[in-house]
Amino acid sequence: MKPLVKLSILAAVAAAAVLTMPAGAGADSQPVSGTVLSLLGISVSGPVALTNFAPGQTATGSGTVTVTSTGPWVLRLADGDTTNPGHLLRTAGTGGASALAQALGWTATPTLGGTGGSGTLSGTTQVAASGTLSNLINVGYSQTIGATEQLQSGNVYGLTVTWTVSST
Amino acid sequence: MRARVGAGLLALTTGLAAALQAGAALSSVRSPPALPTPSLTITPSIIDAIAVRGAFLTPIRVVNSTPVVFKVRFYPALVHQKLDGSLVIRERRRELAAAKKLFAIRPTSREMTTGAALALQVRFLRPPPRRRAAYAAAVVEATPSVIGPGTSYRLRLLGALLVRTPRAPAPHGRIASMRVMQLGPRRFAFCARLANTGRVHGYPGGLRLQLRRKGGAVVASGAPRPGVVLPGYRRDYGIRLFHSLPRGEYVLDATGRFGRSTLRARGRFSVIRGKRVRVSRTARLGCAA
Repeated sequence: MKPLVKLSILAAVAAAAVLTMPAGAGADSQPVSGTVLSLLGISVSGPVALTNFAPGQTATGSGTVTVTSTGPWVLRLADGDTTNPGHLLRTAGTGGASALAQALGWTATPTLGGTGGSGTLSGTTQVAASGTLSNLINVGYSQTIGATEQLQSGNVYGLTVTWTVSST
Repeated sequence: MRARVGAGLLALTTGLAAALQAGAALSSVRSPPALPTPSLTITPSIIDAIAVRGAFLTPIRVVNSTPVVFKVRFYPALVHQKLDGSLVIRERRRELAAAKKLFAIRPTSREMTTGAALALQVRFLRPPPRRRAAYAAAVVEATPSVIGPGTSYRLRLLGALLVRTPRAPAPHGRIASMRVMQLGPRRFAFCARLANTGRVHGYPGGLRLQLRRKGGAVVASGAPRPGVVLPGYRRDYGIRLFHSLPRGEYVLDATGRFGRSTLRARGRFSVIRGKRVRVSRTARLGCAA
């Protein structure tokens, strides 16, 4: 096709477009935009019940932590208890050991990139995970229970994990 | 023939750049699944302000969209800064009392039901003695109202409070060390560790890291995210390379600005047999960024 012919076809198409345009829809435009605020959020899936909780066993449990963030963040965990940090304490029932001998083990695995970690819970804050934006972190707990630990059926052992998230 | 070689080199460099960018923005590469929206949130999470004594800062909006009813405490706390830039609160009683002399946060506690929202009033009281700036975290600490037996949890959100007085000096600092770290066979991290030697916080400007073979071409370069560094602290600013490096000697350069200071540093390291990194006096191992 010759260039001149091609040009005249384009002109005809443009003219047709102008003719079919509704009145008043031509000139003005309304840009719509939003600027992201700095936001930081956290939620957890709830209390974790460890299964297989008996002498000579390794009790396990899992949950999730969701970090909502518009920037890089670091998630830390610690046990706020000052007397026996990291160890599950008897919270219901009587008799038997008042605390487990071994500290609670943990693993944290971000599902949307970032860096996870693992360790043994203590009174010192430890980095569990870090990332750049919002993320869902799978958390696993494992509790080794010695074969000779004095645990009584029906008693409940627990602790409170403190999750702290901060922007970086 | 010359053009072909050039194209080949360009492709290699572009591949490295792409690998580098993939490391810098890993989360944007993967398609994220829908996250559960319920969360305990604060916004803004960083308040960086110039303020006079007694001034109210931007209120922090706290929202509980989780199904859990929380007992929430709000208080200021002094902070340490880690090499990765994150803040860690100082929890000794004396330190918590000192933080309350710098900032006042109201309310101090509240029960927040599902959907509850409130605006935290944050007031800058004064900087510490002989200082022109004050640094702390606004701590939002939430405990479920109903605690059952077993393993429970407590949530803490730290909002950074970075306040300079109007007559505060400009920040200044220096690059304390250049650092390299091998994270895997094909994963490296390169960092400039910036020391804030001034009296106020600051952000590095135009910071750029460049890696090249000794006497040769640029292998990779990148601009780390310019996060804040508090006075008296050090922070690592790094880039990651998801690519193996051939054996040889390398030079890592950092350039940029920090307040009135010009940043410029160079580190040298080698990749030896087995793809292992061997550092020299000018570059050290370990990178927190």
